[in-house]
Amino acid sequence: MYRYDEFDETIVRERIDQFRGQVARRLSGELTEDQFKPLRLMNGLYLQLHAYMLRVAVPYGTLSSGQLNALADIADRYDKGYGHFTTRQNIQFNWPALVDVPAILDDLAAVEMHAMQTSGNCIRNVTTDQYAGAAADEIEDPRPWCEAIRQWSTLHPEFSFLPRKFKIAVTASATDRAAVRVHDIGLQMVRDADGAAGFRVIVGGGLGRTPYIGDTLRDFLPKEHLLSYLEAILRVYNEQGRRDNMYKARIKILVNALGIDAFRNLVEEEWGRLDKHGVDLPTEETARIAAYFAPPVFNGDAGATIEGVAAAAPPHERAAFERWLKINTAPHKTPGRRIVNVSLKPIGGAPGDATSGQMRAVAHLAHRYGADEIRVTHEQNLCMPHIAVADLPAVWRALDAAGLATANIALASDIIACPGLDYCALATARSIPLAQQIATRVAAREGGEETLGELKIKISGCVNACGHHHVGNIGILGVDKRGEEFYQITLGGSAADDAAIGERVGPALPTSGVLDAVDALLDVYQARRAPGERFLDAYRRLGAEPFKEALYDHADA
Amino acid sequence: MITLTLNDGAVRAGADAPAETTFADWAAGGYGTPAHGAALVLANDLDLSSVDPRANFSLFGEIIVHVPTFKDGRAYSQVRRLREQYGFDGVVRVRGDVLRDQVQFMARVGVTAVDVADDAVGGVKESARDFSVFYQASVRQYGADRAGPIWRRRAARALAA
Amino acid sequence: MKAVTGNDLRAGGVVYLAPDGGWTPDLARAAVFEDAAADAALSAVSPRAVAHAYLIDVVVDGETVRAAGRTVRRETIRRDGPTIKTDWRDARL
Repeated sequence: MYRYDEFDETIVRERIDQFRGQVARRLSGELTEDQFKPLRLMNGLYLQLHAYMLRVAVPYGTLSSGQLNALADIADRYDKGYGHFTTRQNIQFNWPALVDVPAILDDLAAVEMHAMQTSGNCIRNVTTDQYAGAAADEIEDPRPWCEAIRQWSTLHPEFSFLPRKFKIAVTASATDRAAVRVHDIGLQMVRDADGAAGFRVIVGGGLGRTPYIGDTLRDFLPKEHLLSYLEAILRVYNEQGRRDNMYKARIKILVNALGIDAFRNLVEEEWGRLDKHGVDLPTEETARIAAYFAPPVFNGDAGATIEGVAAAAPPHERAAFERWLKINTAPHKTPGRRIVNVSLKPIGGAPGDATSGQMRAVAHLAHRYGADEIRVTHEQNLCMPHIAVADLPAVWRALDAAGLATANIALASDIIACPGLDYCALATARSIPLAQQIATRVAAREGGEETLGELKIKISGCVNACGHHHVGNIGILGVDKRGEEFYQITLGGSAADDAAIGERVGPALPTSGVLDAVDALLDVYQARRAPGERFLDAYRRLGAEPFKEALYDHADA
Repeated sequence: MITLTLNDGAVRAGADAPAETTFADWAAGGYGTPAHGAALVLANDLDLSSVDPRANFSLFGEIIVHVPTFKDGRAYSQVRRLREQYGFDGVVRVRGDVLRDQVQFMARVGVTAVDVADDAVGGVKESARDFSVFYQASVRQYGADRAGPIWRRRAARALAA
Repeated sequence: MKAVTGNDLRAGGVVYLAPDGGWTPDLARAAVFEDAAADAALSAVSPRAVAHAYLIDVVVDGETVRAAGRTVRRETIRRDGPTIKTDWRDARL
């Protein structure tokens, strides 16, 4: 993974000094809260319901064991012994004191981490496929390009006071695990007719109050021009994005107002005009960055298979181990290796939370078995991308002992949920307790949730949609009705290659009604699905009607 | 209010500021030659992506951009265009709601002077030196830093090693 | 009736304006104001002590003070902390 040189380190250290000064100016009264707020947000510091919340950047979701251990130490020393992994592949601490934040930033800098631009109206942490560098179907590892974007966007002199926040996601696989169609800019690595690698550039996707699936701005951008093209898009947005209404200030609103063709003309004109030589990386710099992402050397048994290790498991463990292998691990591009997903969705737990002990357990496993690499996934789990197949039994046992081996990746209880009204100052309803109840309910269904196959349930506690409810196969939006929590259900959304915004199916339901509604939806699906058909595909084939009927008949009864 | 010049820290009293012409008035007059020493004032929402070919900014020695609230970042792109797209070589002065934490960003897109309250000069000068290294190129030599993008420094260091 | 609340600037914790002019983490001990006096109490808050001060609706219930009105759920969660059960968190590690 990328390592700081003296320049990267200096920038992070100078940013901490700057922030320490900003905190001192706030405490002395030189800065008002209105002035301090955007400054602290640009360094990831929120004020939530109960306390400050610090969002630490995990650039493109990649962590080393040492970094994860440092996060565990911060959780113990400055927080309450746990952290919360987010849909932007970052981690949040829910309880730091303002006066401690500069010291936390010092601890982060010691392991080459920071909290820059994890909030605010600037270019946020770039996200990517959690399987990057390990997936069999990728064109090339997208992370060197993510690192290039990280550096280009960090403290950008022109684009640090944008109309609104700006999120970029990158994937290099045919299978989109980074939700590139619902980002301000989505970059999908593709090859042109001559086999050269470049990017399909997608713009104007997003969730929030006004969800849009992004449009293709350019079918093929030669990869060496990535940064100058991004610069052109950002300049058009900085100048033309709306600033009169924060709810209409995202780039998706601008793209939609102008139309994709007119927007493309502006970007291409700008791109043609700007000085690319001062922005695009020369091949030496691209190679310098890429060298940090060289695939880890594998000296293990290339002939080991998961069938083999499963067959060798003791009889009393075999069924559970096989189930975990099937659901929580994925093929690696190197024979003899496997990608291991670490579920942060224990049945009844808070989605995405990990205790300091759990962080240390994963850090230890990655160090011992996993080339020192951990990834954070946008679905709020962790991932160890490089595990030798022969080590899977040991890894599984250790994860299980730490409460991290729930076999539910991409199943119904693998729920994305925002922090909701339990933590968030913007929320209108709670999310996590509902996720806990739904997970408990679906896991208890006859035959277990495995029989339901892939099913994405996503819960947001307000219209800002941090829980991605618009793109849940079953999406749930919390609303406040005269002081009571109600939940609006949408169906048929997807954040993957077949991205779609879910359809609202009827009036909002009270909490108890939501649990019964989920059961009713799953009953319809199980009764009417074709063999092997996913919930999403069954919904698309059958349409909303049978599901609506079940929902509201049930609610009326 | 006084005007602080960013590259040398010199200050100019408000009373010594030049006379001003708005872009709208200049346009209405057919982009003619301004009164000697006049400064051109650009509205914050003026689109500089393309202007009338007769608009020769270099007829002015000083251009003033306006920041209505510190959260509004349009002026940064305006200044960059003045420097890069139109080759404007004179003074670019920022007026309005500016936090001292923003001054170094401004210098890096080509701002050379900023209007500040008399008692804010020390803090602004200090913040204008917050960073010594930048990932991106700064607009030519107008800012406090004279370096190109970071990869040029890396290449130079690699060559020296 | 109203109370003044906010977050302690340095630590971030939830606090309420107390009758002695100081701040307390205990809503039951908060100063209670008639609507007209509440605005004056809010505008007198020192921004160096508390971030994001605002007024909440409360009722006086015997010896104690409770949140009331439209934001009662939010303010009850602010007073008591997250409602999430955490037994799963202690189960293994």
